[in-house]
Amino acid sequence: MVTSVTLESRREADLPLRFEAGTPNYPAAVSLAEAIRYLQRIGMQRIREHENTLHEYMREQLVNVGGLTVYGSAPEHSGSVAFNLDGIQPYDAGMIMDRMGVAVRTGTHCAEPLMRHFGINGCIRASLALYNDTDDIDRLAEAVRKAQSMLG
Amino acid sequence: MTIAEIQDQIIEEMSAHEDWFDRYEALITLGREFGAPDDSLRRDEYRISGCQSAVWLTAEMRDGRLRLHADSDSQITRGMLALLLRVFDDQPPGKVADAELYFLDVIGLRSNLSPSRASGLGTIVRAIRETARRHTG
Repeated sequence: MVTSVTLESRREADLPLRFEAGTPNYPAAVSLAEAIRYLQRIGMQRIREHENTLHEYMREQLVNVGGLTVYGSAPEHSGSVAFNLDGIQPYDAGMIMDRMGVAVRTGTHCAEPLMRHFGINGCIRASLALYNDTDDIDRLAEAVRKAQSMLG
Repeated sequence: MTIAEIQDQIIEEMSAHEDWFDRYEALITLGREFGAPDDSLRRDEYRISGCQSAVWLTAEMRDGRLRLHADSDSQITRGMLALLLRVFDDQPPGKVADAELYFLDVIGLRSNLSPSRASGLGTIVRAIRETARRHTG
């Protein structure tokens, strides 16, 4: 927000208002409320169970594909799986998988110290959410196989 | 061959690949055949920053022409380097600095990359141009 503006200069409002937009982001506020209602209607426990089931299925399918390394050995997991295809740069794999219609994140994931801990320069990450299903994971496995055949 | 003639040749070859998987295969194959035979290029002082994968570039003059050497840890990037060096290597540095580069857009290479990849490609081209300018005159 500003207090006054000329063609040559402006005077900003005092803190904290100078860092606020003149019109607050009310569409986002309304959308957020609706998104929360949506999640509550479905039920967070149901969502958690769905994601956990999918997560187990994803891990199984990746093990079935083979020729890759999954990172993270904590006894409880959820949400996403980080992995690398043996001998294949994660960015290259991501490009092929993108062409197969599968979106994954590649690189250091804004977590360079963690990459260093695993002794890698980067990796692939497949993330799950309530709107994913087993078909998506089958397609993920297919995309991984395609990347392996083209780049391996 | 001139820089333009080489680009036209590449456009013709790549256009023979109808779908994008074929083009990626072609790039990957080029990338496999390209690259330094040893790790001599993979030194910090040759590293180009601003690329998602690691890219190394160095150059020297030989008989009035600019000789370029490059490498990357990404196969697809190596494929792109193979094409770029086919166009720019062993040419007068003044031409490398100023020649119009159009084959990337004609074969749709830039538009079919993710924004960060496309930006990385631009960074590599700029680095080649800069190197050429430094060796001009």
